[in-house]
Order: sequence, then structure tokens, then C-alpha cells
Amino acid sequence: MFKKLRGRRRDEQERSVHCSVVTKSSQPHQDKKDDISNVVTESNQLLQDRKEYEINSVVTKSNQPLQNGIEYEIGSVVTKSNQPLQDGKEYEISEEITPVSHLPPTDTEVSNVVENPDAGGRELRDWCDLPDLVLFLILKWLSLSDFFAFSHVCKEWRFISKTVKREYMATQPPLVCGITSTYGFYSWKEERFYKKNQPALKGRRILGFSHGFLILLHKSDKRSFALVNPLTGVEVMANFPWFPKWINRYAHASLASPPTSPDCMFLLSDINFFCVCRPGDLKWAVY
Amino acid sequence: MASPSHTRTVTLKSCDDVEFVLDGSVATLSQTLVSAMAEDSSSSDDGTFTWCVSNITGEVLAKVVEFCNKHADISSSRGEDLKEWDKAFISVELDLLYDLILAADNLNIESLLDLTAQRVADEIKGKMPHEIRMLFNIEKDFTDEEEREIRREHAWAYGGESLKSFL
Repeated sequence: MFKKLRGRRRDEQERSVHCSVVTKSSQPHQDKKDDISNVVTESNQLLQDRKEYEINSVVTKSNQPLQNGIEYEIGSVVTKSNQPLQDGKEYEISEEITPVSHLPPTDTEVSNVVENPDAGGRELRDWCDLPDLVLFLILKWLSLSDFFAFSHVCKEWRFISKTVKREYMATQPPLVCGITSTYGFYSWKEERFYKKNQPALKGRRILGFSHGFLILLHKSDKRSFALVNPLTGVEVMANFPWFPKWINRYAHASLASPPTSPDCMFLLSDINFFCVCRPGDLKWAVY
Repeated sequence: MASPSHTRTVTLKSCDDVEFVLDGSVATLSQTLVSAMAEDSSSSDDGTFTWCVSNITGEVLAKVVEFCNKHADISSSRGEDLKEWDKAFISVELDLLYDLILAADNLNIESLLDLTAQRVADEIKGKMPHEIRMLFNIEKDFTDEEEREIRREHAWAYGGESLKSFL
């Protein structure tokens, strides 16, 4: 009788999203199980677009009548059936949920929207349209997951985050690691490990990570290496000589400054040697 | 020729005609004022300089002036104390924060821009995109296709695990 919404947006159901959802029954319940229509709730889509949605058949299992006009606050996403509402009743939601119209702003929203009387009738504050410089400065303070959340807010913020994506890794504490076949980032701030598929790693070995770049060595050609931004997957061409031919599997490499910087220095070491070179050098200085 | 900025006083006038008199050395925190004063030579005789900020109210400008006075005062601008002061200073409602950002941008005050940006970042931290949108009253303007593309791009980032569970 009820098509449950199981399986929809499962990735998001896992997260405990807390937002207030307002459901309203526009019609008194007649103590029949399947007779409520026009119950209005917010978006099923992570409840993020503040739209009203019409649910055509909402059924209360507990046989408790929904009272006309009463608003319910729901503490969790309503895509799972049998999810108890805060009022202790259970609902099953069936069929598609379609957008109807925008909800009127709630009290807290109204206070944001209210014009500041001192502002001489200024329009509401458009956070999406902050000056680019400010958005850049904000990104500087964000950890990896916050960076992604930021870029998922609106078009403008996404555009900004895209433009700094290339430099972003360099601003982070060393958080990259490769553990045999699995590769990823470890964020010290968040104590989280992110797995990311890294095509550039195929057939290569990680020699080090500096200034936002992975230093990769070809497994077949031990003298050629690559500098790759792990976030974008883009390989940077840098003007360094090939590795010395005695390079062995214990080698470790790092950069003293970003590869694009003129005073960059490439450090390479293994159990027997330590050697350095600068961009434009023809060979490595061995110590 | 204009006298050096630190010997002059600067009068800042808000859009609702509230005036603030700043010491020249305080005004140098604002790059906008610095360049305006450098270009201006007309009022150099009496040592005052008046600058109207068209889109900043007196209420907001008062906060900006408070910030500049504190940060220009070398004796107090040191270490932990100033950090604590900044923290208390920036604990404001989001509306005022927004106005401060625009004021800092308009007057080009680097330290205030940094501080406001940090506060916004603190608000963003740990939140999901829809929570950020709700907080700042931002309309989601992605098309369905963009939405899918973002999810594809970000799938790995949302799948983060703690290192403990990984090891």
C-alpha cells in the first residue's frame, strides 16, 4: 500500500541532518488511515531549498488524528519511513513529492531579512555576493571538508573555490599520504582520512609531498618524476634535471618552496646520498 | 604638498552624517584613506581631511573606528590580549558582520578583512552546504546537472573516515 522512500538519497540519509521541517495538515483527519491529503512539508532533498512540498498521502500509523492547522517540527529527514516525528507519531510517506511554493520565512529568517532602520532601507544582505577578496580570505581558514561544503553553497562560491583549488593544498598542513594501494588525505584538524582515487599514481611511487604537490617517481623509468597537485590531478612541469641513475627504493624527496617559485630547491635523499638542485640546473649536486 | 598622513587628523563621515575624527596614524590602517590622502592636497593647510563613506552607516562606522583605534594603539596591539579583544569585537550578529565586511572592503582595512573572514569561516566550519545556505539566507542556484556534477566531484570528500577506522 505504501511505497516507501527507501533508497532515495541514501548517502544523505546517513547523516543526521537537523533542520526544522514544518508539516501542516490542511484538512482535519477523519480518523481514517489513508485519508490525509495536502500535508505540506519541506523538501525531501536534504531540506535545503526551503520549498514547500506536497505529499499526497501521509498516513499516521498511530491512528492519532492530525489536527487541522497544527504545525509539526520534524527533527530528521523524512525520507525514511517509520521515522518518529517529534510529536511521537509515525508517518509513512508515499509517492513523489513535488514542489509547491516557497515557505514564508520563519521568525528567525524574518529577523535576517528585516531592513536595518539605520541603513536607510538597504536591501537584505546578500552573502552569496560577498566581495571576491573576502571569499578568498574565508577559504583560507577552511579545512578540506569545509572547503567542499563552501563550494557547494551557490554558484558564486563555487566559482571562487574553483579558482583557488589549485593553490588550496599548499595552504594546508601536510595531510597527504599514500598507503600501498589506498591513497588519500589525512586532515589533522578534522582527524579524518579522505580516500581519493588518484589516476596519476598509476605506475608511480610517492617520493614525498611538499607545498601542495605530490612528488611521484615512475616505477619503470627510475629517472623520471612528476609533480602532481593531488586535489586537481594536474601535473606541473618543472624545470628540473632527471634523477641521478643510482636512485633506489629508499629515496625520499621534498621541495623547499613551491616548484613555480624561482628560489625553489628540490631535495632528494636515500640511504647513501643527499642531493639538491634548483630549477634550470642541469644536474644534481650530490653530498 | 600634502603633509604626512600621521600628522593630520581625518574626519570620517557616514552615509547618515555621523562624523568620526581619527588620528592620522589610525587612518593609515585603511589603504583607501591612505591613497585618498596622498592624492589630496587641498586641505593640507589646516591638517584635516574629510572622507565620506557613502554606503556605511554611523553604527557600523563606529565599530570600524573602534577597531582601528585599538589596532593602531601599539602598546595594546600585542599578542594574546589583542587576539582576545578581536574575538570579543567580532562576536556580533551576522547582519552587523556583513556590514563590517563591506566596510572593511570599502575602506580596505586588511586586518579587519582578515578578522571578519575568519569569523565567517568559523560559522561555516562543520556545516553541510544546506546548513550554510540556511544560516546566510542564500538561495541554492545550481541546476540539477550542476548538482550532480558537484556530487560526483565531491563524493570522495564526503566519504571521509577517521584514521582510526581506516587503520
